[in-house]
Amino acid sequence: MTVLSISNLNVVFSTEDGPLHALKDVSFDVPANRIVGIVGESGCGKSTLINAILGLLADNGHIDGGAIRFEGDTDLTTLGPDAMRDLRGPRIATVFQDPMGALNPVLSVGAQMVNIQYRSGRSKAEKRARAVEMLEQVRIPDAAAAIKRYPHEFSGGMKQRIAIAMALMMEPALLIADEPTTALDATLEVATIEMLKDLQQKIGCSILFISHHLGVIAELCDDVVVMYAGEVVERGTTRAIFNDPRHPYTARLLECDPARQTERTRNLPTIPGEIPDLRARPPGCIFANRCHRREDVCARPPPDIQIGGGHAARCHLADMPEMEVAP
Amino acid sequence: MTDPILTVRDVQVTFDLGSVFRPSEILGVAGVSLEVRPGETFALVGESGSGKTTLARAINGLQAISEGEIAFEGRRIDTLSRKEMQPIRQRMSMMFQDPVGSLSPRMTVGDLVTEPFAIHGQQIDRRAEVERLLSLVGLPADFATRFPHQLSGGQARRVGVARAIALDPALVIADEPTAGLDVSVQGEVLNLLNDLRERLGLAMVIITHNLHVVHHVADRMAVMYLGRFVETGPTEAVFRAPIHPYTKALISANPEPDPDRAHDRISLPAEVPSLLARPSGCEFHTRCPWARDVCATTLPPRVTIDGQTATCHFPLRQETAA
Ligand SMILES: Nc1ncnc2c1ncn2[C@@H]1O[C@H](COP(=O)(O)OP(=O)(O)OP(=O)(O)O)[C@@H](O)[C@H]1O
Ligand SMILES: Nc1ncnc2c1ncn2[C@@H]1O[C@H](COP(=O)(O)OP(=O)(O)OP(=O)(O)O)[C@@H](O)[C@H]1O
Ligand code: SF4
Ligand SMILES: [Mg+2]
Ligand SMILES: [Mg+2]
Repeated sequence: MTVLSISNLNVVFSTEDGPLHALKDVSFDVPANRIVGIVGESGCGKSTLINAILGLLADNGHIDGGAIRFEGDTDLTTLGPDAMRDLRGPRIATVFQDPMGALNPVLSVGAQMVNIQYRSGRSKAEKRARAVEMLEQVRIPDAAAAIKRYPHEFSGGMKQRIAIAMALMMEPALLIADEPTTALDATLEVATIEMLKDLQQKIGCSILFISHHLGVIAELCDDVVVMYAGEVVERGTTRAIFNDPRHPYTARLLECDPARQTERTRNLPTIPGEIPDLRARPPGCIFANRCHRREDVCARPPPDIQIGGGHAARCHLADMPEMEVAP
Repeated sequence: MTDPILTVRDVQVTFDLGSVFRPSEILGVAGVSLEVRPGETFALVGESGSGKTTLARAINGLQAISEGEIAFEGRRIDTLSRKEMQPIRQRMSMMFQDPVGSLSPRMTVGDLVTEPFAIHGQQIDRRAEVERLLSLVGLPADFATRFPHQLSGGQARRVGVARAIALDPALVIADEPTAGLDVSVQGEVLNLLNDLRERLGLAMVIITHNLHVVHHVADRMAVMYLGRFVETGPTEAVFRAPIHPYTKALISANPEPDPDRAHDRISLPAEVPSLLARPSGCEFHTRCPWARDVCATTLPPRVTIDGQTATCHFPLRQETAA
């Protein structure tokens, strides 16, 4: 079963200098019970993608073709604002970098957790019990007393775990998490990831997880989607992406991770060049101007080449892996 | 050794959280000391809310301190008035957390990079300065007419760097300069800062959660927990052999980009104590896997080994016999 299936999604923003094609022919699936990571450069369209799924694109943006199917047939791009509002929260939940976006500073945590169950048909006491149970699941100590406290009485890491508890309280089919651990130190980051994994299995939901931290992606996710300049340039299982990257952008991105530099260096690797202007997309491969493997054929748009096992890359040379230099 | 450009001694910052009816105070920074020398990069790491930004703001004179002393270029600055502090800010600049949000949306890149001169009432050849600064941070000159929303995350960060170095400072304090950037752009920004450090002899204080970044760019580092330094020392030594259990847990927790790697990680309870209820004894004892009874009751001693210092009853490294 596929919880979320995005096919050929295009999003365009109108700007003073003409239309900006922020997402171009984006296709990927989020299968049931799986955690899918999204990585890519700053500005590649991750937030735009989330906003398109949630029906929250900025006023100057619109969907220009494609479908976002959720739990079977419903195409979210055809739903009106009311139907989308009903889905957001109970069926598609979100967690963002700053947990205060989800928490009301003037209400106790318990009151907020009871409020979001307003359509559950549970009694007041049941809602309260459910709130305590969720806080215990995200390992807030002394949960029964903690629900009486206000958000500012918790540390940053605890606030983020409360935000996760609130997002998962109604057992959504999909949790969208946009950099939920970037503000945490490494000890809390791994604790939060482990907790998220546990809860995901318990509830049986899927997670779409966005992060620039490749280590976190490698540890948490089952599948990875790599985006560049508004396109999905590669997707596959986490192992396939990290151990056998087929798109040159993926390969370069992984090499740039300072975690891979075992020797201490002051000169960190980068990908030379700039992303193309999204208002004037090149006719051929979107990565061509920065690609170290570029050939003449790259001036034509590359197909999504299937490598097998759901691993695909949008590169003319994807079925010819980069050769290791023979000794 | 050259004299330090920045000296922070036993600095405390107090926040008043209470009301007239229920007064209460927290120590955001609870007595820290550090020295930074010209050309040196000093990294501050630690838990969210451990006081990193507050300390940076205190150094920059944006936050009053309740105890201690701060000296910059040989002169005490924590006692200066706002007006007296103004010329010092030309020598010591600050890159704020969320620089993209701190660029005014209605100003062009050219206005933004020359704004520091305007603030300090300096007459300049605007065209020449814009060109010089943009080229220093590796942006094409035609970016001068762009607005912030027309920049990528990395480009916006470069504009932030250009503003920070506009007045030729001796010290730059950068709060999370690469948060939210992909690893390639992160590398670009760090290489740029490092290049400027070398060429201009800048001293830098970098605040970050990313330990891999610290490992590569910092000469010395401090690990903060609940407003105190639990460990300080040369970066390489701290990574090779941490003394304090929290440092060791931080380093071992750092997720590695390899799905097949088995982790032998020290996992800590995720409950960070509140500043309103600091633990007794060693403040880390509620989460420390090495803690014994004494840790809950008695302040830990300061241990110094080869220039590396930590406060712990059971340091993970022993002094090597002389
Ligand atoms: N409302 C808008 N109007 C015009 N352009 C926009 C708008 N929102 C986003 N863009 C552009 O669309 C592209 C994708 O932006 P988006 O915010 O989705 O990137 P992102 O991957 O989330 O980046 P980051 O990693 O920095 O968060 C960028 O080039 C951005 O400048
Ligand atoms: N103006 C203020 N009034 C009251 N408390 C404050 C104020 N500013 C900061 N604090 C508190 O002081 C502590 C230290 O905050 P600070 O912002 O310095 O942490 P930080 O280490 O920079 O965290 P992060 O990594 O999340 O940026 C926190 O508990 C914070 O809530
Ligand atoms: S003093 Fe004790 S509690 Fe503190 S870190 Fe050392 S061993 Fe742990
Ligand atoms: Mg974004
Ligand atoms: Mg901060």
